[in-house]
Amino acid sequence: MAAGPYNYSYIFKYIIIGDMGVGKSCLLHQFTEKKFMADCPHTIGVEFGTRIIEVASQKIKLQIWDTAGQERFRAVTRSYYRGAAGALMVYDITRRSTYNHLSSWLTDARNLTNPNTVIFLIGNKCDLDAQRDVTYEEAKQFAEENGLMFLECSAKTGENVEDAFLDTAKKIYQNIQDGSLDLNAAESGVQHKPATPRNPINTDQPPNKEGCAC
Amino acid sequence: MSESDDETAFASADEGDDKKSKDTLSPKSKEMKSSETEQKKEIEKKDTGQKQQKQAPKNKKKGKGSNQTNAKEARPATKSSPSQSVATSPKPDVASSSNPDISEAKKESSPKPVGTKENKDLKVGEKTVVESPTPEESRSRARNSLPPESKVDPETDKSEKTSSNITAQKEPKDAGASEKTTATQVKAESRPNTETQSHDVVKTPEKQDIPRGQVDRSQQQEQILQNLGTTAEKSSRGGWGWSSWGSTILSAATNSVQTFTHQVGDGLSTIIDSVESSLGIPDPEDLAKDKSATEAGQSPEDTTSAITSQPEETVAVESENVKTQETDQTIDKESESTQEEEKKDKNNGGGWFSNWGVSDLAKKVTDTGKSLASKGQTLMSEGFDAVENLAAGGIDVLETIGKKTYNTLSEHDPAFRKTRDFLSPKSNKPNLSSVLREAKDRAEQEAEKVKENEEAMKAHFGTLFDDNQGLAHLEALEMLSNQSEKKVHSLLNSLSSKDLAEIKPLLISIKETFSVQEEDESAADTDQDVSGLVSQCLAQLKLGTASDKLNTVLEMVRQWIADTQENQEKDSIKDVHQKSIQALAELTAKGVEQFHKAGELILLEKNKENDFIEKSQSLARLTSVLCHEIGNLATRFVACLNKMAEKQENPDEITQFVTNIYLEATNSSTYIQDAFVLLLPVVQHAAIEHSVLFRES
Repeated sequence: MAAGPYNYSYIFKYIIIGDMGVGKSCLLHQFTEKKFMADCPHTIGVEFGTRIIEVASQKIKLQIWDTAGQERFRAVTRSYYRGAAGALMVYDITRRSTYNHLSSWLTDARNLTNPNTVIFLIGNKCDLDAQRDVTYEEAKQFAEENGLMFLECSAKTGENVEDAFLDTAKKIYQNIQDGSLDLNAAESGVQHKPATPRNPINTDQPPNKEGCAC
Repeated sequence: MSESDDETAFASADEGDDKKSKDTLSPKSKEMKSSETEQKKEIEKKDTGQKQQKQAPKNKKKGKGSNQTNAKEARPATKSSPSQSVATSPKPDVASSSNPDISEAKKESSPKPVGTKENKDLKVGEKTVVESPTPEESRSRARNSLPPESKVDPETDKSEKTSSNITAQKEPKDAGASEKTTATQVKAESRPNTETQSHDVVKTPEKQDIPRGQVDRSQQQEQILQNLGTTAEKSSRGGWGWSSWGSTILSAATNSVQTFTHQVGDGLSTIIDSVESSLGIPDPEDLAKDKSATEAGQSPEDTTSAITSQPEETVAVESENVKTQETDQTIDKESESTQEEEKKDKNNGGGWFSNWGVSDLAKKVTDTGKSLASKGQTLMSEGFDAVENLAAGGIDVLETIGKKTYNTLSEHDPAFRKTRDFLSPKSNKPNLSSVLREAKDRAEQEAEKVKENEEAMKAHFGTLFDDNQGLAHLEALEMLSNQSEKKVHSLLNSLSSKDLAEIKPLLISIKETFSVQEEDESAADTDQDVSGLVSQCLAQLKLGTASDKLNTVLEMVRQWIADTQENQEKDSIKDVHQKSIQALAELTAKGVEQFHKAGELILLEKNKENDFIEKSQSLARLTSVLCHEIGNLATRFVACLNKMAEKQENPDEITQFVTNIYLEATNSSTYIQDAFVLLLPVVQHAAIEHSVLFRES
C-alpha cells in the first residue's frame, strides 16, 4: 500500500456489520479500491480499510473496521464496536433472512456504540433486482422508524457505495459542527489530528497506544 | 516699488556682495591656477579635441568626464584670447559676445521656448555689462541667496527681470548709460566703474591670468595663441580703424564682461560653497537638471568652437540662432528681432555699427560666436568644477542637503508632515510588494515542507506501520485483550473456589510463558530459516490460519536486501534507508496482525484437546523469531548502508540513517512484544472458558 502523508484533520472510525455473505468486505473493497472482489474469502475477526475523503474542505481519514459476519465471530466482533463514529449495517436484498436479522445487529450497534454513532442501513446487491427479496419501501420504512439513514447499493457495480460512506461522514461531521458529538469524549470514534504530521525521523514513540479507546 | 527703495536695497546688496565676492574668489583663483596647469597638458589636444567635438558631439553627452575635458580644453582659449586682445580691437567683440554667452547659459537653465525671455535676459546681461557690473554682482548674489531652484526655474527670469529693472532704474543715475547715450559717455561712465570692480572688488582674470599665462605658456600654447590672435585680427581688421574711443570702450566692455563672467562663475562656486555650508541647498533634482542643462549647452558651443578654426565659414556653420541674427542684422537693423544677439548689438553699438558695413559686422558676429563659445566653456568648466566639488563632497553633502531640504520643507509647510505621512505610509505598515514577496516565500517554504514531509513519510515507520494496518490490528487486539481481561475477572469471580484452584496453575503457567521474554538470543542470531520457524510456530498454534501473509512479507524483505546488496551503485543511501524502514514497518504490521488473528482464533476455538500452554509457548517463540528477524534485517540494511558509505565522500552522512534504522527496529520489536503480551488475557480467557465448557460437558 502506498505511503501517504498525515494530511488529514480527522479520523472517523467506521464499523461494518451484518450477516455473513451480505457483501460487507466487498463494499469496503469497492469503496477503498473501487474494484469488485468476486470471490471474497470469509473475514476472520476483523479486517481494515482506510480512505481519505474530503468533507466541507476538511480531509478526513476513514478507518473502516470490516467485521466478520459469521455467527461464531460474533463474540469477538462485539468488542470492536466501541468507539465507532459510524456503523454501516448491511443486508442482502436478495436474502430476506439478512434483513430479518437487522434488529439484532441494530441492538448490538445501539448498545455497543455511543448514542451519537451514525448508523447507516445499506441494502446491498441492488444490481440483482430480479432476485429481490426485500422491497425498497419496507427497508426505507424500517430505516425511518429507527432513525437510520438508508440506501440501496451494489458493491458489484459500485452504485451508491460512495454515497453511503460519504453521507455517513457528512452526518458525523455535521454532528461535530453542531456540537452534538463531543470530540473529547472517549469513544466518540473521531480523532482530531493536527494537519501537520509528527516529526518524521527519530521521534516516533514506541508502541503507539493513542488509538486505544480503552 | 519705488526707485529710492530699490536703490537702497541695491546699495546694501552691493556692499554685502563685495565682501562675498572677495571671499568666494580666493578658492576660485586657486582653482583657476590648477586648471591653468591642466591647460598645458590639454591644450595639446585642443585642435584635435575641437575636431572631435565637431565630429562626434554625441560623445559629450556620454559622460561627465568627457565634458569636463572639453570644457577644460576650451578654457585656454577663453583665457588667452582676452589676454591677447586686451590691446586689440577684437576685444570689444569678445566683450559683446559674452553677453550671448551669458544669456545662453541662462537659456540652458530656462525652458526651451525662450523667445521674449531671451530678450529680457539679454537686456539684463548687456546693460549690466556695459554700464555697471554691480547689478551683475547683485544678480549673482541674488542667485546665491536665492533658493537653488531659482537657478533653473522660471524664477530665474523673475530675478533677472528684477535686476534688469534695477539696472534700468539705475541708468539715469549712472549719468546716461542708456542705449542712446554716446559711446564716449558709455566709456566715461562704465570704464572707471568696471575698473574699480576689477581692481578692487573682483580680481578679474586678466590680472591673474595674463602674467601667469605669459610665464607658463609653452611653445604650443604660444602658437595657438598666435593663431587665435591672427584670427581675431583678421576678423576684426576693420575694427582697427576705429577711433581709440571705440577700442577703449570695447575693452572696457570686455573687462566688464569678463568680470561678469567670472562673477557668474564665482556665483556658481559660491552656490556650491553655500550648499556645502548648508546655506541654500539645491535639490539634487536641480543639480541634475543643471548638469543636464550644462551638457545640453555644450553642443552649440561645440559648433562655435569649431568655428574658431574656420572663421570665414562661421556664418554658414553658425548655429541657427546666430544665423538668424546675422541675417536680421544685415537686412534690417531696425527690425525688432527676438534674438538676443541682435538686440545686444543694437544696444551696444548698433547705432554706430551700422556705419561699418555688413562684412565687418558679420566678422564680429563670428568673433562673437567664438568668444561666446570660449566664454561658455569657461562657464561650463566652472560649473563642472562646482558639480565636481559637490560630488567630491560625497554622501555627507547629499545627506545634509536632504536633511536641510526636509527641515526647510517641514518648517515652512506644517502640512508637509501630514502629506508625507499620507504619501509614504508608516514603515511598520508593510507595502504590497513585500507582502506579496513574503506570501510567495511562505508558499514556497510550505510546498518544500510538504515535499519534505512526503519524502519523510516514505521513510516514517509510524506512517508505514499505520498504512499496513498495523496500528488498527494492534488497536483491535488491545480491545480484544481488554474485553478478555474483563471476562477473565468476571469468570474467576463466578467460579467456585474448587474450580478456581483447578484452573489457577494453568493460568499461572500461561502467565509464566508470556513473561519469559528474554530467551537466548545468541542461539537465533544465525541465518535461521525464519519462514520455517514462523510456519512451525503457527502450526503449533493449530489455528488453521495460514502464515501466508507473514511469510510473504519475510520473503519480500529478503528479496529487498538481496537487491540492495546487488544494486548498491544504483540506490542512494536515502533509498536504502527508506526500504529498510518500509521492510520493518510491513513486517511489524504483519506480525501484529498475526498475533491479533491468533488471539481471535484462540478465543473462538472450541476444541477439547486445546493445550493453552503449548499455544502460549508457540506464541512466545513466534515473538522471539520475529524480533530476531527484525534485528537481523536492521543489521543487514545497515551493512548495506555502510558499504555504500565507504564509497561516499561523506561517510558520516549515514550515521543518522543507521541510528534511525536501529531505532525503528527497536520500535518494531516493541510492537511485536506488546502484541504478544496483549494476548495473555486472551489466552487466559480462552483457557478459563475452555475449562468451564469441558468440565460441564
